[in-house]
Formats: sequence, structure tokens, C-alpha cells
Amino acid sequence: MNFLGKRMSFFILPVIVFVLLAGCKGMTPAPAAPAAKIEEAPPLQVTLPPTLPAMLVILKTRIYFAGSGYVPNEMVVVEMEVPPGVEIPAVKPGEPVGVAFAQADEAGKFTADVSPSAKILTFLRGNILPTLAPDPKSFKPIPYGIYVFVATGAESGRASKTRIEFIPPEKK
Amino acid sequence: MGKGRWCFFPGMLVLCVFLIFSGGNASAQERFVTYLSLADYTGAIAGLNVPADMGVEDYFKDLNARGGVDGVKVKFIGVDTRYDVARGVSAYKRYRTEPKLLVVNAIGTPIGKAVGPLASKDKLVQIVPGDGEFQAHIGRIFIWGPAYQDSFAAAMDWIASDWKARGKTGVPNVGFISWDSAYGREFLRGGKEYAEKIGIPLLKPEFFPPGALDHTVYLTRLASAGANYIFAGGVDPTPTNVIRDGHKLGLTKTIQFLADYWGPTEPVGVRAHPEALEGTVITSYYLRGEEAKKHPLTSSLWTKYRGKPIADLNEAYGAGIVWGLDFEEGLKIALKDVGYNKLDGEAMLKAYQKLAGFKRQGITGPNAYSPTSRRGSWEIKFYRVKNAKVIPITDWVKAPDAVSLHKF
Repeated sequence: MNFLGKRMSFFILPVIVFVLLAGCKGMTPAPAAPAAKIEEAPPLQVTLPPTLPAMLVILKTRIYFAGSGYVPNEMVVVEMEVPPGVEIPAVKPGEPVGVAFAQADEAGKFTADVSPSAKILTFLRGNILPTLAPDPKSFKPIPYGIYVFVATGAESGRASKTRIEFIPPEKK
Repeated sequence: MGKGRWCFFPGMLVLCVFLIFSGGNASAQERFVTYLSLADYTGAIAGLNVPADMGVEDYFKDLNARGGVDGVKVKFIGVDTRYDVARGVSAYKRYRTEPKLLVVNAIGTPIGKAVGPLASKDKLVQIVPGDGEFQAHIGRIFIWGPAYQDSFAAAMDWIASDWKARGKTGVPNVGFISWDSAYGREFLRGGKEYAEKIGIPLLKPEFFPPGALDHTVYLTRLASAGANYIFAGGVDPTPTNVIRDGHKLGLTKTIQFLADYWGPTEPVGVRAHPEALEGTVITSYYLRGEEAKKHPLTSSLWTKYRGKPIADLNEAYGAGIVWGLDFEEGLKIALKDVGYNKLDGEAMLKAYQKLAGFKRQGITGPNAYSPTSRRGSWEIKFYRVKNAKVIPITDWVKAPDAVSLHKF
């Protein structure tokens, strides 16, 4: 399969927007009625080619998280939960890894971009050289699967979750 | 059985009395404070941060082995952020509630700026590399040494003096080249104004993208513009690579290169490119080269805790020891002022503001922290690379205040 030949269909990754809903604190409890059922949205999918140079496309794809319901002007930190068995350099087992952060605006909304550095160090599990150049030879993308991302307000502690599924390029 | 039961109760009484009278001593053994380092151990600036954090960690080990400060020991937490800001912010969030966390060291300019508001809200003391804005806007963030722009101003004074010593007339042209980053640009926020003030024309600065492997284009422009001196920023090995490229172009024969605090160290840049770096002048706020290796404290701690040849000592080790010296001295003051139970970031802030004049055992100039100063020190020393060694060419000189010349 020539990935490069199918470049446009495989590797156009749309801007990925996650709207994270704030917690339901403060809402009036519903009156007695059949329990509401929330259907969880399927995770957004990100194609992550396993080999160079195709995998570099993730560096050119804007990935960002957006949410609302946070305290105005508080810092919101987005962390990726690392599934058991997945090793990410310099991340201790059981600990999440920061991938983005931003300050909420006056309305409590935030938009946090994942930097190229975070993509290299976390999604590609690679190294950045002392010259600050990326080291593509070191890239070893995270295993395919669903990853949970949590956006936490640094002051309020409010946390919201979303999911990304990293998938291989479609096979013909 | 009955006899055993009657023996049990006196034993309990004795045990209770023992616990009551030994309670104070037992809690003293458990008394500790925490120092958090948002570090880089495997990322882009690990070459400098690893030895620096070795220095502060070894200092704390030694302090704890000596019984701590009035029995209070220091818990060192070093987190490898890999020089990534999101990881730095995430790590701070994770460790901000550590018991008796007093000081946070953010190893890089961007991490320091991102974490600063959080640490300030948590009422902690934060220390950062060299951004003058933390001197311009006094808060809870302290700089390690003189501000970057102050050091650049000191370099301008050295250049003016060197130009004259060479028998030249008029004024030299000075070029500046560094990473295109917040750190790289910080030197000229006040440094540019100082150069203008003393009448030295600064050529149009060259900022290259972090990660650039070749600096020929930028250097050629500076040379073509008539540079007599070029000040090269970046964290080693970057300035070494810049000067290496200058050497390839033949520029080191006619242009005097200088480097900043994070310039060539003996075990890294100088060892890799001794010929290219020959004659390079390094501006530093901490001891370099043989002076660092021969310093009693740096050499003794290195030997005791690292067990490696002193030739392998990276001078940043001493810079790290200074963080430990400041912390210990601040802790002494804070414990005296408020006692252990009330010890918190606020008390440590007040203590740090009383450190002015603390000598740091000569590894740097005296501490300059005060209610109106966030500079770690005022003094700069100039060194030159000669025969693959870094040797001093001046004594400590007081850096000018370039921060006040810029509108932040």
C-alpha cells in the first residue's frame, strides 16, 4: 500500500475541536422521572501513520482543546491519561502527562493548543536535541487506541474529559 | 494468667509516659520542607540542567546529613519536564500541594513564565533563570543571578574597554545572535538601550529558529555589516555551534565572539570544539573552568556524591549548589521568624528578601535579594577559552542596571 499515493485521503486531518462540557455542579436536580440517559459521543479519531515521513503530518495538524464553564482567567491544564503498559519517556507509570494549557477568558472559556514539542515528546514519544531540533530517528508513536484527555481548572479543580482515538492509516 | 494481666498495665503506663515525653523528638525527626525543581533531565537543555540539579540535590543531601536546619530536613523533588511547557505546568499542578512546599525552581524561561501566576497564587517562592521582567515587576519570582540584560550591558562595558585596550579609535560594531525565543530576545530588552546609552552601535540582531543546524547565513550578515564583536546566545551546545560556524567562515580571526551564561562549558562545548572556541569570551555569574573545579565546596560535594573525576565537573553544578545555599539560608531565617509549624511560602518569601549580602561562598557574587530586588546577584565575571580551558580574565565586576532602561 502506497501511503504517499493516498496521501490526500489518509493524511488530511481536520482541525480537531473538542468541546468539553463543564461539570453539572449547580444544576437543579431533575424531578423524579425515568433516569436520563447520556450517550457518550464516540471519540474523535486521529490518523497516526507509523512510519516516517508520513507520521510527521501530525506536526502540521492543529490539535486543540476547547471548553467552557471554568473560572474566569484561571489556568486550564490538559493532561493525557497514560494507559497501563504504555510507556512515555519521562512519564512515571500511573501519572498523566501534560499536553496543553491555556488561561480561561472572562467568560470561563478556554482554547488550548497542543504544541509541536508536546506532539513530539508525547504522541510521537521522540526526542528534541540540544539544538532544539526534533530528532525524527527517535520517534516511536504511541500505540493505537483510545486515550482520555482531562482538562482541569487550576483554581476551581473542575475537570472535564474527552477522548481521542489514534488510528492507523486506512488500509485499502 | 492473672499475674500476666497485672504486669501488662504497668507496661502500658510506661509506654504512654515514654510517648508523651518523646513526642517532641519524634516529630522533629519528621520535620521537613520541600523544594520542587521543574527540571529537564532528558530534553533539550539537560546538558546544563542535569549537572545543576545534581548540585542542588547533593547540597541538600549534605545538609540533611548534617541534621538539616534546626532539625528540619529538605525534601528535593525533581521532575523531568523535558523542557516542555505543558509538562512543566502539569507537573506543578501535581506537586503544588506537597507538604511544606516552599520554593519552585523553573528551569527554563517559558516554563517560568507559565508557572509563575500559579506559584504566585499559591504564595510560593519561585526562582527562574534571568528574565528582567521579574525585576521590573517585583513579585514572588526571583532570578538566579543578574538579569540577562544586565549581563549584556556588562558585556558592552567589557567590549568598550577591550576595544580601547586594542588601541582602536571610535566605537566598535557589535552583533547579537541567539535563539528566536523569549529567552533569546530578553538580553536586548534593556541591553539595546544600554548599548545606545554608551554609544555602541548594535547591528540588526539575528535570531535563528531553535533547531537551526547551521548559522552561516546569520553570521555572514553580521560580518558583512561590519561586526567587530558578536555576542552569541543559546544554551550550550548552541553557542558552541554558532561559533564553530563562525570559525568555518574564518570570522574568529577578525571578530571577537562572546557567549552568555549558558555558553560553552569545559566538558561539553570546549571539549568538542577547542580550536573553534579558542579566544571566545564567556560572560558568567557563576565560577567557570578551573575556578569551579577548585572551589572547596563544589569539588568536595562532587567528589563525595558523584565519585567522578573532577575533570568531568560541569560548571553548572556550582550554580545548582547556590540554589541550595540560598534555600538553606532562607530556611534559617524563616524558621527563626515564624517557627516550623507556621512555616509557609509567605514566610520563605520574607526570608528570601533578607538574603541581600549573603556571600554564597564565592561561587557567585553576593546574593542581592531584597524587598526591591529580585536579582540573585549583581556581579559578572569574564572568562576566555584558552587551550581548551576556561580561564578568568577579570575579577567580579558589577553589572549595570539595564532592566530599568526598558519599558516592560
